[in-house]
Amino acid sequence: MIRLAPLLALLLLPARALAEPGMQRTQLPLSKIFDHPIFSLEGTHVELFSLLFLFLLTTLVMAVRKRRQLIRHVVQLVSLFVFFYVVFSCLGVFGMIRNTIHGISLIGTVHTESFFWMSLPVCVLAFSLTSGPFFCGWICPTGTIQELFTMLREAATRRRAPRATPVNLTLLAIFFLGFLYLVFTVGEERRLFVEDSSLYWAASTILVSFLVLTGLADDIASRALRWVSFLSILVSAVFKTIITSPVHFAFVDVFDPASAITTLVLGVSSIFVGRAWCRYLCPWGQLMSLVHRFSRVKIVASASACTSCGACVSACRVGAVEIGRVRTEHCQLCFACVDACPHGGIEALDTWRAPAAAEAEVREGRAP
Amino acid sequence: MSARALLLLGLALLPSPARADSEWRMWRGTVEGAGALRLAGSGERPRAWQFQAGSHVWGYQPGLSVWSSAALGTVQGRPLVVVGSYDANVYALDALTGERRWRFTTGAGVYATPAIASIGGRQTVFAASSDRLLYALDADSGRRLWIYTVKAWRPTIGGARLSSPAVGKAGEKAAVFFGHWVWDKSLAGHLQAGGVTAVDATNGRELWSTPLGDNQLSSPVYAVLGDEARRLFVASENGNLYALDARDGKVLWSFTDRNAIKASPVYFLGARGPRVVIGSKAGRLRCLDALSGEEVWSFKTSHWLDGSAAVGEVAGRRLVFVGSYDTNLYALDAESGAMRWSYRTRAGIYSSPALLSDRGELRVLVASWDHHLHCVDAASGRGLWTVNTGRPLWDSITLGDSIWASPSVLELEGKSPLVVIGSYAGPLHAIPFDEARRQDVLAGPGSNRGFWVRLPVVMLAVAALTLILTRRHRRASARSAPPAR
Repeated sequence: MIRLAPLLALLLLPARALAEPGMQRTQLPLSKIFDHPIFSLEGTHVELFSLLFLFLLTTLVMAVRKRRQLIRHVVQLVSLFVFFYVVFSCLGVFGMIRNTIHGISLIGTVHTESFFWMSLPVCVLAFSLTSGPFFCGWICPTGTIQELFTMLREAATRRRAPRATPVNLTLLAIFFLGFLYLVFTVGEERRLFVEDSSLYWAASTILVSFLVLTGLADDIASRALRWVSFLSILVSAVFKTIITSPVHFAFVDVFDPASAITTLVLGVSSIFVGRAWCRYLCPWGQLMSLVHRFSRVKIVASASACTSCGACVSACRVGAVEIGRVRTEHCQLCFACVDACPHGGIEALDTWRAPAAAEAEVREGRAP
Repeated sequence: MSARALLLLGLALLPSPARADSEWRMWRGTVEGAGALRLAGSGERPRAWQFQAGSHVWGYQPGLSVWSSAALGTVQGRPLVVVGSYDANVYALDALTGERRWRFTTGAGVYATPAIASIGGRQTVFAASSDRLLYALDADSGRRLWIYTVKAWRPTIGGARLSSPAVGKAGEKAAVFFGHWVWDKSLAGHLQAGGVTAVDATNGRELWSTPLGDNQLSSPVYAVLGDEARRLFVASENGNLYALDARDGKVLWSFTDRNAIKASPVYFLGARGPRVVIGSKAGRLRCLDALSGEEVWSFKTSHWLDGSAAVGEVAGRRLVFVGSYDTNLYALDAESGAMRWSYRTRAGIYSSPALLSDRGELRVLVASWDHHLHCVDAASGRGLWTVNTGRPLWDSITLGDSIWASPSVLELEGKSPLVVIGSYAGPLHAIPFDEARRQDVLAGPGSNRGFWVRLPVVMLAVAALTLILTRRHRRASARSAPPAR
C-alpha cells in the first residue's frame, strides 16, 4: 500500500493545486502545466521531447537490477505526470494508430503536422524494436492505471491470481450495470457521437473479463481479439469511417466523458483480470507484439534453471509467463518475472547479437 | 509623446465602431464579431423560410461545411442573404421571402463566408471558393466581375481552403484580404503553402501576398487602429496569431499559442487600448494587446474553442461571448477576462455567437452539437429559447475539423430580427426572432438509439468470437496433448 501512495498523490494533489477558478463543473480536475510551447518548434510543441525524455530515462534505468520494480513504478509515476499535466497530444492506443495513418495522409500537405502526428508512434515503435516493448510495461499511462487497480486488489486480498468466486462475478455484473447507467446518464446530457465509440471497447473489456473469469473463454485464446481491435481501428483510420476518441481522457485536456468512463472501466476490469485491456483488446498492444518478434531485447526463460516454483507466473500481471516459458507476444518487458525468479533463470537477451544461438543457449540452460 | 501614446490618443478620438453597419465586410460582419446587420426598416415583415439547395447529399470529407455562415447586405433596397454551399454554389436570396435571386457556380465547395461591400458604387460580393479562386460578383445580378487565382490549376494540385475575405484598404486602394492554403502532394510539383493575400477590390490585381507557413489560415479581421494604422489579424492552424500591416502585408507581431488555432480573431477597442481576442484548440481564450501582441488576460475553458468570440455591451460594460466545445457559452468581462456567467447547452458549441438587440436588450445566439440554436439573455445568461436545427446529413463526421455555419442576424428597424443559419441537416433556415421565441422547444439532445442498438450487437459479436477462439484453442490443445494412458 505504501508503494501506491505516491501514485494516488500524483492523481489527486496536483489536480487540486492546479485547478483554476474559471473552470466549470464539467472540467475534469486536470490542467496542463505548460500553456505555452517550451520549444518554439511549430507544431511539435513538447510532446516529442517529453516522450524522448521518458524513453531515454527508461532505457537507462531498465538496466538497474536492484529494486527494479520500484524504479519501474517511479518511471510510471513520472510518465503519468507527463501525460496528465504536460503533453496535449493524444498518445492513446487508438489515437496512435489513427495518428500514424493521419500523418501519412498529410505527407505532402502539411509537413509540420505530418511530422507531429507520426513522430510519437514512430518513436514508440523504433524504441520497441531496439529495446523491447517497454512502452507497455514502463510508460503507457493506460497500462499504469490498470496496474494501479490490480495492485490495489493485490494489496487488499494478498492474492495475485483472480478467482471466479460468486462474489467476484456478482461484483463484475454489478459494475457492468453501473457502467450502463453511467453511459445512460451521459447520454441524457449529450449525444453520443461516433467519437465516443471507446464505450464499445469498454463494454467488451468487461464482457471478455467476465467470460475468462467464469472459464467459458480461454485467457490465451481470447487475446486474439486484439487483432480484431487493431484491424477495426486501422480500417476506420484508413477510411475515416469511425472516429474513436482517445481511450484515455487525460491526454488532451478536454471534457470527454466517454473516455473518462472507458478509463474507469479499464481500471476496474483490471481488479478482476490483471491488465484486462492490455490482454484482450489493446490494438496498440497487438502492434507492439508484432514488433516484439523482431526486437533486440527479449525475455527468455532457461528451461534447465527452472524449478517450477511458479514465482515468475504469479509475478507477471499480463499472464505472459508459463512455467519455464515466456510468451514473447504478450510480454511487456516489465522485468517482473526476471526479478521474481529466485534462481536467475529468466534473462533479458540481446537477440540481435547472436539471435538464434543465444536464445537456444538460454532455453537449454547453457548460458553462463 | 511616444508613437504608441499617439496611436492610443487617435483611437480614443475615433468614433466607436458601430455594432453593425450596412455592409458585411468580413467573416462575422464587423470587427467585433457580432454577426449582425442593422438596416432601416422597410414596409415588409420578414417571415420564416427555408431554402434547400438540392436533394443530393454529397460525400462527407473532413473540413467541409454544408453552408458557410450567411453574409447579409442590401441590393436595390431589399435585404439580401448571400451564402456559400458545399455544392460549389454561392446563393443570393431575398432575406424577407427566401426567394432565390441568383446563383453562381464555382469549381468546388464554398465554405468561407462571402463579404459584401460597395466598391465604386456597386454592391459587390466577394466569395472565396475551395477551387483556389476568389470571385468578385455583382450583388444584384450575380455576374462575375473578376477573379483572382491563388494558384493556377495543374493536374496534380491537391486542393485548397480559402478563408472568408475581409474588405478594407491597403494604402489608398480598396482591397480584399483573404487567407489561403493550397497543397499539391505530387513529388514533382510538391507544394504546401499558406498565406494572406490582398487584391485590389476594383479589378482583382494582387497588391501583396505574405506567405505564413504551411497550414490553414482562419478568416482575417481588418481593423482600423488609426489613420495610418490599418491592421489585419489572422490566425493559423500552426498555432500562431499574426498581426499584419494592411498596407504591405508585413508581419508586425505574432503570438504563439499552445495548440492549433481554428477560430478567427475579433477586435475591439478596450478602455486601455485596442484588443484582439482569439481562442484555440487548447481551450484558452486569450485577449492580446493589438499593438504589441502581449497577452492582457486569458480564460481557460475545458475544450476546443473553434468559434470566434463576439464583443457586446451590456449595461455600460463590454462583455466577450464565446462558445466552447465544453458545452458552455461564456460571458467574460472584456477588460479583465473575469467570468460573468456561463450558459450550458447539451453538447459542444461549435458556432460563433451572434448578438442582436431585442427591444433594447442584448441577446446572444449560439448553435450547439445538441442540434439546437440557443438564445441567451446577454445580461443574465438565462436561456430564452431554443430551436431545433436538425441532425447532420452524415452519421460519421469528425468533430473539430469543420467550421460549421454560425447564425447571422438581420435587424430591421421596428421589426422582429431575422435569424439566418445554415443547418448541417441540409436547409438554410431564416427564423423571425419572435416566432422562434414562440416555438420555445427543447427536444432531447438527439437520440442515442443507434448507440443502444449497436452496443448489444457489438457485445454479442465479441462474445461469439471469444467463444469460437476458445473452442479452436482448446481443440488444438487437445490434439497436441499427449494421449492419456
